[in-house]
Amino acid sequence: MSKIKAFVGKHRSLMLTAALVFAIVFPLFGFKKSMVRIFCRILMYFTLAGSLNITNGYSGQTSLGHAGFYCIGAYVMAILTTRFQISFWPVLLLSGIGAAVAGLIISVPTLRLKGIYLSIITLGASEVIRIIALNWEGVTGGSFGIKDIPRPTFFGFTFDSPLKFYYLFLGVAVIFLLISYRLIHSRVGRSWMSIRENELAAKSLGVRTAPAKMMNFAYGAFWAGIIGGIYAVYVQYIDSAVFSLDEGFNIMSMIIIGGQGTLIGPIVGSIVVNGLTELLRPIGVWRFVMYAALIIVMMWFRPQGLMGESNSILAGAKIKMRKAGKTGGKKEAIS
Amino acid sequence: MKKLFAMLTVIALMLGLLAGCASDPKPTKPAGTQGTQAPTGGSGGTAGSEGPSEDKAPIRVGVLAPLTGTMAEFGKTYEVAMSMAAEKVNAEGGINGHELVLEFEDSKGDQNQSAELASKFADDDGIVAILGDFSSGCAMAAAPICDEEEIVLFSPTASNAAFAASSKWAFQIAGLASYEGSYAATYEVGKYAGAHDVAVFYMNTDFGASIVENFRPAAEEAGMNIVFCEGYSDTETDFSALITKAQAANPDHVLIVDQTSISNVINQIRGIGWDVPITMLGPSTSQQVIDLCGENCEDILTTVSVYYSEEDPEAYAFAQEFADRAGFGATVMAGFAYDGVIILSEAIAACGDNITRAAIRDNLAKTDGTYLTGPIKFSEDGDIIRSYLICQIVDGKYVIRCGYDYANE
Repeated sequence: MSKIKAFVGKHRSLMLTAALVFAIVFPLFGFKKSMVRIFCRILMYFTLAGSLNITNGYSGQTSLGHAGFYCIGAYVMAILTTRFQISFWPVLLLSGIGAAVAGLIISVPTLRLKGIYLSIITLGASEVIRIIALNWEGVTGGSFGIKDIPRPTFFGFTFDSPLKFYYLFLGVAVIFLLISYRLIHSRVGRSWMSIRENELAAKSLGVRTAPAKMMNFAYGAFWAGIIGGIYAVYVQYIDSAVFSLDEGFNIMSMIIIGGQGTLIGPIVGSIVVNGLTELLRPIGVWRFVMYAALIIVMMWFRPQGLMGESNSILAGAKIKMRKAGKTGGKKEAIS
Repeated sequence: MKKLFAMLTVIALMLGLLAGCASDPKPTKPAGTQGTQAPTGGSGGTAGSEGPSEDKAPIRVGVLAPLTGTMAEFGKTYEVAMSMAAEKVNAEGGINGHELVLEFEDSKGDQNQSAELASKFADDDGIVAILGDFSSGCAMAAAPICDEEEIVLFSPTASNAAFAASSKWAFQIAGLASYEGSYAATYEVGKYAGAHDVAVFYMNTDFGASIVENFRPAAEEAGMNIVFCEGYSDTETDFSALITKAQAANPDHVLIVDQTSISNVINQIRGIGWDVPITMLGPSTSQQVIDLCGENCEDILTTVSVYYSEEDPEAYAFAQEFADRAGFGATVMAGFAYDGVIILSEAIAACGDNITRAAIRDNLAKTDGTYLTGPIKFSEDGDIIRSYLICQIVDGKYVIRCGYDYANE
């Protein structure tokens, strides 16, 4: 086990390049469109779960309202492209910014809240956003939703097939990973993690926790908005029913299963959750039982998730202590 | 050890996913044997297998239905009613001798799932057309894919007027909510009940909103005042605040536009001792309302496009058998689902030996006949305008007050 780890550690950039090449090449092997749609879904949820992981995993603020930011991004895209015929790319940025602003607005009054109290506020905010989308008929189309959202084009190249969207989702996922990696390894990222481990201690060491937390929320929400924007043009029809609390929990289950506080965790979580949805389809209603059982087993054996960082505080004391005894503590707290 | 366990789990799941990919395109088992399906007497063509000839390949039709999730009872309606129709088709010799097989897939009432499953059906060359999804939202989400892939998407129950209009491959037969709304205003609440000041409660779904959108201008044209009009979400259960507010507006008639919580609203209105005349609409009309409201629903008016009366033996027999199999009474949705299968199989039969997705679309558009739920002829867009009966609940039973031609009287 440790040998594999050492090998991966030594040839990290090689492994990452290989993974990227694999991700680029393998959909070309004649998969059916419906299969490619599943790959799209995995990539889409990867970025979505990854953005939630920024808040929940890195700064330890348990947000349950990610579907709300996702909703804002989708509606910004749908409204601006159908009503005002603005091109996809600038609107995509606006989708992200719109969601980031919402994230900021929610984070300001919740700066002093922690744990369950913060979770409940985010939960409520998510529902408020959905209900506004449902009832503000003049703008959002109310319960009729918005249809005929135009496909994006790029210098005359139209994204009109699942395969093309796959590469769009892949591109966004890679950009998200790169930026997040840089950010997490910067001063900002370290201040997020210090808040996660012990907010008071962080404060005493001169970390300005309020701006750090606000930025954390806004950054996570930004990517949820971006994905919302792409989702809108991908499915071409949205209504508020998609962005329910269930969706928020679905995204959260991916980071719980994959592992919070790591960049790789959401990838694994998205593959497992979306893969299971397809794999277990033949057993009908029993798949919910299987799904629940998996989460319970996970909590039992690996509370930190499949790829969870074992020397994080989220990992539980037992694993943490054993790990500390074995390796004498690791320098870097993230993957 | 635990790490190893975790790694093995990941590897096993990934392999499983890939295995899933590989086995995906294989032709699926006949519908009757698939795991997701009916515990109630099997789906699709199991029962009528002696009808169609054995050596002709079965004709496979995909069905999108919310078999699980919050709309599961409607999924069950689909499953039972459509299976009954498929059995009837097969018992009468199938489609030109081919057995009709319905393949149900569970969309959970989730738009993403519905769209992906539609794509899965479209990828499968053996699937000639798709029935469903139950709700307008899911049907709308699947429509762009079916339009792109050029396969018929025929939702017997979607009522959003934008659905069929969105694609030439999309069809609907539930009757447009837009027309039902103006019918209710002009004839039911206006001409029949003679109301002046109307209070409207509506469930804020696409169905409720489009009824109200069309009810309002028609009611105003008929000289009525809408003194109160408020929506509620489909998860609400306490309507006392709304009711008090409505009562303060002093209406002489109440219209409730609802699909699922109608009995709650009625009971709460009567519960505070308010005996205002009440009108409800088609989707609310069911035996369940009478069972749940008891005396509270006496004299309530409703519109129905389908009435399973004893005078119509075919419809009555259908309703009886449906109730036996499903364990609950047949709503109009059951009739629509049943007709959906019958109409589609006629369109497939009209293709003769050359069954293509395009030919099915063309034949479906030409549909013109009378079915269990009344006459059906598609408009240019692929939807229909239904005629309605006005019924009243008297002594715990629906009684027809006005016939289909009341609008012309």
